[in-house]
Amino acid sequence: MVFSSLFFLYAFLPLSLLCYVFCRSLKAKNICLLVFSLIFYTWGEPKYVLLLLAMSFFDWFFALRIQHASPDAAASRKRWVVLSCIVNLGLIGVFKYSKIICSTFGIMPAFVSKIALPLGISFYTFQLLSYVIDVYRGEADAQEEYWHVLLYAALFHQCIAGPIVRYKTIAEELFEFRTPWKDLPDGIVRFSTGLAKKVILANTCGSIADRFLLADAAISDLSALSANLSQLSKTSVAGLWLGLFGYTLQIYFDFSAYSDMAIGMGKMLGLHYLENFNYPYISKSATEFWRRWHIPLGTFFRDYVYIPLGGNRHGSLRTLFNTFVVWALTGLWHGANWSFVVWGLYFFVLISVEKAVMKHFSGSSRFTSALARIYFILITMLGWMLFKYTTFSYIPVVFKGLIGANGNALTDFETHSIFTSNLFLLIFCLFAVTPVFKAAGQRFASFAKRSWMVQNVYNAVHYFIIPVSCLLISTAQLVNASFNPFLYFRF
Amino acid sequence: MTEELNLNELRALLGDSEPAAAPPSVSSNPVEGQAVSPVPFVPAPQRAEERRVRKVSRKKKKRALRKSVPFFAVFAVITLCAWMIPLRPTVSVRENRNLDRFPSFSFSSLLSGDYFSGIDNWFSDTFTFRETWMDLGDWLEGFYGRSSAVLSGSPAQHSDEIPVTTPSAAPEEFSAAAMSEQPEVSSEEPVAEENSAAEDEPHSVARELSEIDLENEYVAKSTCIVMDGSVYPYVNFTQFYADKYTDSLNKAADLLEGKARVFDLLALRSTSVMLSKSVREYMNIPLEEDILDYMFGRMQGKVNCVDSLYMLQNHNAEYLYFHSDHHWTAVGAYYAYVSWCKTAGVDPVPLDLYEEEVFGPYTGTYYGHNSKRSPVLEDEVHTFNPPGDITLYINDGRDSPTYLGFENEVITHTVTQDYYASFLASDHAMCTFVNNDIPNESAVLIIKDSYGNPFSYYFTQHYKYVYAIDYRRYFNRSLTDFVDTYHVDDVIFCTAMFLAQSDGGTQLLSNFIR
Repeated sequence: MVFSSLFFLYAFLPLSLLCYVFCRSLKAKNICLLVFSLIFYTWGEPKYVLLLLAMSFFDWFFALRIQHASPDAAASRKRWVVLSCIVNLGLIGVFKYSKIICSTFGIMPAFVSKIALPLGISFYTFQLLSYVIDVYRGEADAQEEYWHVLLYAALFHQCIAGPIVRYKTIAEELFEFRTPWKDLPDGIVRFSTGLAKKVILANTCGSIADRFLLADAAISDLSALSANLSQLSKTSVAGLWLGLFGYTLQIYFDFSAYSDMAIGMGKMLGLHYLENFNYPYISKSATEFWRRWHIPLGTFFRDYVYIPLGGNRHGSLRTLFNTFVVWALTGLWHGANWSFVVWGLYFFVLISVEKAVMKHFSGSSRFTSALARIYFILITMLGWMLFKYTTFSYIPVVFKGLIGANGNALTDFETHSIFTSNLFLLIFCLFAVTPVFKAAGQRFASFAKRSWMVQNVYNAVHYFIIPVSCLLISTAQLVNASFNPFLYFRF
Repeated sequence: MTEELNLNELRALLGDSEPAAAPPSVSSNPVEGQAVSPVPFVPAPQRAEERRVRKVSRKKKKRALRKSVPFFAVFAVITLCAWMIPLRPTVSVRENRNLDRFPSFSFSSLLSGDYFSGIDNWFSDTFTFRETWMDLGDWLEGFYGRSSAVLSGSPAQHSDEIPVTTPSAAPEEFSAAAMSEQPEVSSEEPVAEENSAAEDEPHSVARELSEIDLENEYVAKSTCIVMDGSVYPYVNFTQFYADKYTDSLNKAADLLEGKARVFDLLALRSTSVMLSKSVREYMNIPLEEDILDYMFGRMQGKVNCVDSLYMLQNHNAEYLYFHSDHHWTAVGAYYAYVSWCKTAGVDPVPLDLYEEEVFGPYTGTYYGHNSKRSPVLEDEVHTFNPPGDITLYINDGRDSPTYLGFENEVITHTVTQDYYASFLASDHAMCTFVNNDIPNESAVLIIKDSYGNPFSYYFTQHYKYVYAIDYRRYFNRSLTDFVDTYHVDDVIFCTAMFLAQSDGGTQLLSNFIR
């Protein structure tokens, strides 16, 4: 089940909210949340729910052992935390990375090829790891109740697609005290705008990207490699750029929309998750980009990998090595393929070069800022090629096509047609990746405070017209998306 | 004190308003956490402050609810509608299809996740007021952008380069005199079909293939251009299948040499007929002119190739193709028939002599490409019933050898207003026209797919027996067996170009040509 499905919207969500509202105590509310979270996970992954239950159990147990160990028994505490890391990373290794490891060594046992990636394993493993490590560091207390740990890991808002919520940031609201009503209207706005972002912007940009850069299913079909390469080599220069632009937008809208919906649903219940994105495409450098893109993941690697490795306190070579490790792992976290590692290292190179070069420049003007933004968005777009194509053979063909070195036309009918028939939407997307709408909303809000009348207009627009419009538009598009002429029964 | 209270203040003043069962403290150690005790005495000023905070809290809750209730009201209405099971549609008139059904339960489907995804699909596909939502979706897409020609459907499939062939010999000339050389047929009515004993391995493979809806597959994978209210599919060329098709037809000509003439008429896409060559070249659409040249070039001297393209192009101001469907209209089929007449050396019967009927509105297979960005027009289906004492027999050879008699009847207006099914009552394994006005025993076999349905009617004016068999569904006899049994004079292959370029289509044809 995904948030942007009609079943979730009009069956799962209302039912879970209704049950939640009727529960009086916090404990009852949490039990309700846990039951619905397990249903949610089972719906998408009936078999692997056992893995989620087991991993939560292990980490609940390890954290308790750490907590109950004598403060003097540092070795014992360390043993448990190491064991937790081995179990968590071992399981994610088996379920996520065994295929890439085996294929790298040219072996593929039958049982390995049958392993399917469990839903959300990257997210909940990191959450559980952060829980055990925070307990070990004394930054959080271990949960006595197993189901509390399970609830933290399985909470359907963020279990399968983030944001990665660290235990110490959510434990208080989850288990002690919630102010459920305060942020309800904001939660509604956040959820509904996230839904529209996914259904309208991300899906449309995705279809543009697939048209010019090939759909993921086609890319992963190795038997069609030569036909695909031939097709890509004929795609016009403008078409490839349009496809890459569409993919750049899609990947951001898709991921941030899920985060918006998760954050929105959390707010409706009084749970506050960390922001995942902060307009990453307005960044002027790779360093800034990673402060704005998938923020909790960057924080996770900083706190649990970079700093424990010594950070930047042991000389420039060691710092470089630490940065290398962090970016290789960041890439690997995103997918079990070497192309993701290369993508991570691409940012390692960019950040290292930036650090070396930027210190010689000081001050910035509007012009240089604009240039830096253009430079960086181009760099980011090219980087997404590594994300899109899990087979390296595609990348040189697409790259050559982007500069017209395949003998491909500058533009063609297909590009012109797709561009003009989505022009207004693409312009809207350009604004949506910047804080323009947010700034306009804030201005409107501060202006609205001047008079009661304007405040009411603001409330009506912000809390009713926008979310209801988003809901209606998204529903219409979701119903439309179910159209499938393949099932046409005439023949 | 500001109205905004922080969490700790509220907790201190309100106590555990939503208490958990002995939760451990996060920031303090467990010993401190356990030391928390109930507050037996609260001083008066604190009680006043507590009341004030409660009042503020109630006020905030009220305000939050006031902002949220209108949204939840709309949300609740849609949710309630979604759960009105009797209001859920089961058939989509707009898309001409049955909607998904609630999945049946099994433990294996439960474990694999298919059961849950089936429920998801059913819920989405049969959403209450589905057509209204789709209209709203279409209307919204109008704001995405505007274009005189919109690309729609799946991304374009890979297409091979079309090899250039040099004609080596002129097509064989046929005289009209051959038409009169008819063998004798013993009875007025066609022979009842019986299952042939020759049920071999390729036969069963073909039967399996026939279960796949090749045309639907094609439609689903089509890249289309929506322009001026009509949908034009992209053209693909796959040399391997084109060669396989032409080899099969050459084999048919060899097998029937001295028995019957073999004609090939490839039914073309609307794109090649309705759009000019320069427009198609601009759109990077492979030219069916070149494909025809290549394929006919491979069949020269054996098969009588009917080139209908130029005839159709010359009449493309008429209603030759449906705006919203992949088929040609009966008028389009008529001009294909006229092209055949030209090749066979007979005079076509004017269309005016046929009795015309009109049905509609009709929305075809491509109507799903309809959007406000470029709306697709609805169609009408014009049928032309041939003049004379003609009887149409339909024999669904797969299921039953019995005849279903129809008397020049326009058949089958299904619940989905599938008016194209008016021609030959949709796709049946075998249909037979008998024209009692023709004194001789002439017979033609038309081996066709759905394009042949309106096409077959016109041959009733030239042959006493017109046997139209659907090579995707007919498995009772082989080609030679059929020609021998029914004393067929002419064999016409009327195959959609896209099926002549497909794996399934060419396999089914080669299975029949034995």
